Amino acid sequence: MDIDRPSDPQVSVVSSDGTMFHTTLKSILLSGTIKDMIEHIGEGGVENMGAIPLQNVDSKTLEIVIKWIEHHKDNIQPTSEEIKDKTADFIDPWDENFLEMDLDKLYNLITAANYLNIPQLLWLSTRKIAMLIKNRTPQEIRSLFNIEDDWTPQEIEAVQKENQWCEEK
Amino acid sequence: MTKESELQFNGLNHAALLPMEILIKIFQYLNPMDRHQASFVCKRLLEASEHFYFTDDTQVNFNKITFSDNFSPAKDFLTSFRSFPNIQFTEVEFADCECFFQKHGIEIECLSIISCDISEKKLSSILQATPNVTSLKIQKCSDLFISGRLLSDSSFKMENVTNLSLAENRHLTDLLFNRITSLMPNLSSLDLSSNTISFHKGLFKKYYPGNHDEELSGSKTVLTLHYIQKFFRQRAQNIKSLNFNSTLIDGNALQVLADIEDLQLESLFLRSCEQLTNEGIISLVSVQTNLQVLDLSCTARLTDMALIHICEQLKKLRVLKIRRCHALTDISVKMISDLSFLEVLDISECKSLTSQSIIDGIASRSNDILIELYLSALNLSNAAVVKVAENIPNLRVLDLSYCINHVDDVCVQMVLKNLTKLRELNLDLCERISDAGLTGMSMDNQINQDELSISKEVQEQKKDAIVSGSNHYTHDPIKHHIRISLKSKAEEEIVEDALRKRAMLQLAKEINLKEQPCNSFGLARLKGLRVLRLGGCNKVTDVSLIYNFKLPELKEINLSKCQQISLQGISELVKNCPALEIVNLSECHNVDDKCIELITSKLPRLTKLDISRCYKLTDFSLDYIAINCKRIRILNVAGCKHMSDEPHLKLINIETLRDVSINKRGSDIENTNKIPRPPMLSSLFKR
Repeated sequence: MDIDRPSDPQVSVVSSDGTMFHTTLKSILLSGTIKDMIEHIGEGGVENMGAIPLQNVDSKTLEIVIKWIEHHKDNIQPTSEEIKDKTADFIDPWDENFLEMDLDKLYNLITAANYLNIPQLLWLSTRKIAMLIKNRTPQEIRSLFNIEDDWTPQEIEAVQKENQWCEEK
Repeated sequence: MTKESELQFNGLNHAALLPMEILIKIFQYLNPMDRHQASFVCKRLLEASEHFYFTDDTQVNFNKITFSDNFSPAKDFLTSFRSFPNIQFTEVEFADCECFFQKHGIEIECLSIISCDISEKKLSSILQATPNVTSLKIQKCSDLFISGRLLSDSSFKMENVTNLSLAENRHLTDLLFNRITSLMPNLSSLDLSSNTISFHKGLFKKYYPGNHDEELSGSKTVLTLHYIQKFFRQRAQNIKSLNFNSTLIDGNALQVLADIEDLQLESLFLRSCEQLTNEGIISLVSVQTNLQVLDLSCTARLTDMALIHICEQLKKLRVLKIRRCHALTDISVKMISDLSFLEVLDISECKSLTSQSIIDGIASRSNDILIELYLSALNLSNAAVVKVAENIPNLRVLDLSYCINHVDDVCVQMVLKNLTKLRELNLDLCERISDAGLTGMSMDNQINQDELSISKEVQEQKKDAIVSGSNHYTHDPIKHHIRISLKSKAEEEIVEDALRKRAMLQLAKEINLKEQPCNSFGLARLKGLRVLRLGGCNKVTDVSLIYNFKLPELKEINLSKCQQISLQGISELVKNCPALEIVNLSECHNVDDKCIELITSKLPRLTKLDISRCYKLTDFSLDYIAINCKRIRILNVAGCKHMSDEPHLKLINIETLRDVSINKRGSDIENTNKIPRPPMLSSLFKR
């Protein structure tokens, strides 16, 4: 953790289940949502604004998010535009390792990254899911993600018949 | 990729938990085929896959059928709950299909009717039922235009059409052009390629001898530029894109276009227009400074002067295609580096170019903008390719096919090292490439075998060349040409045997090497690679497919004429590249029925398979295809001489199969050869 107070003051956030976390301003500003909030208050207010409540993020997930933003606080964050065409790019091994978590955690992380508006983290976590879907049959995807099959055999047959004529442009 | 087995879940339906916007985000990282598979998982995922973000990359293509509400496939679509905004009809005979268009017409945005048997009345009713079409293509439907009655009593307008293509309709006339375009007040893009257009003023005078009525409605017999330029004048402010590919458009006609006030084109396609002159191009380019896309491929008369003009005037160019403009030299091609927004460049087959045009030109300094570069059939030195690899890091597409003389293992290593964003790599007929280049094995300490030790010397010299920026190798290509042209059949076989032996040797060695850390680069670095062409790279063997070949996105591979590919390699290929849809193994003489069994059973997405002239294949292969291939559309088994005389009879139950090439004789090699050779080089290959 960075304790360089003058340039990077401490900020506190509170999870939905009431746990308080401390981090630094620089880290928390990676969240677009909180950045907007703080800009609204004005820089001067940061010192005395107290803990920021995050009602949509539980403590387990918030812990993970904070771990990520603190690691990346000094990196230049790509814009959403830049992220668009990054599907197959190399991933930083730290991130690759960071994302080794069970699916429930990953889902919560995605939801949190979306709510907190952290484009790079959202990209990494959704991409991770995409990588799990890649090159799998529908049945494999269903059992991996525990998804219920809500198709009737007739519907599937109809869709398959239509798809015979569909092709990539 | 993680160890999925360790992932746990707590019984919740995850897909249901994620908001739709997130599902769509996830789908953005999938290629169309993966999205397509995922859409079968549950209805919610189907909904995500139908999002408008993704509609652009798939289309429904009705091909070689009779289209009638009473029969499949049109009938199947009548009860569909999905929408299909892009529809193409190719070689379709239209019968009663009112219900189809009643149901789906309203959602169609792109409609293409190509080489179809369709009456004027039918077309008119279809167009009336598809009011939201923005892009309309009617191509190669000559019969439709013969009578001249097309749309003669139509009372509707097609206000949404912005892109219109009327390519290759032989009987298109001024009258019909006028009638069709007047239904579409908002056109911004017009394609008249491959039409017989009269560009000469004399002809115009002949057909319009001062008769005002005729001049107003247009001639019933000819299509003339001087008539349609009136249309350009009226719509000058709207028209942004023009396509006159494969027409006889000449310098004077370009002057006419240049003189139209308010016409500010963004895209102009003049491919294969043999009558174009430098003066015409220069005069047009001087006024059309907003051009972003320019295609002048196959313009024999295009010279340096015109290209210099283009580079000086068209600062906004994003796409420049000047393939096969033989008159161009290094002098002008170097200047292309001045175009700072250029994303796509095609200078293939410009036979006068040397490496200098690249080294001092487009690759002379770091360039983050260029994403597609086509350098096919150029006489490039190793140094030029290395420069490209080092200085243009964001390339998505690189075409080095037919660069026979110099693209070697060192080049490939540099490409693999630097261009990790490549989606498409074309190395067809780069005969010097071997396993070493593709796998990176034994590249750091070049091995001692005679052939490769020579290449090492050459490589060192080339390193000097890179430093000094000069090209010492102008003598080399000639030597190489002679070697190819004198190759006899017997010699070929000897070389083949030698190669096979070496492959085995190397294989043995590689297994030891596997444990050692290498400073070299394997194909697997190109994680996003979707298309890989290695056709005719004779030195590429199973070894390449076994090591460092994990390409999860790979959709298309060409290994034709890679004689050293056999079961061992294929079994790794299908494991490493499960997303393959298009596989070309033609003239791979070591591919046997067992290989086809693996390919058909392990590649569920296979849509196109070329196994022509694979002499080892028998009817068993056909059976495997018939049993395993659920999606295959196009199959080529021409010249498989050990198959039965009527292979298509075995395939009759594959519903998806559209095209089977079954030429048994194997003599018409010209017809079935899938790799088109650039004509300028073809003389080298004739025995």
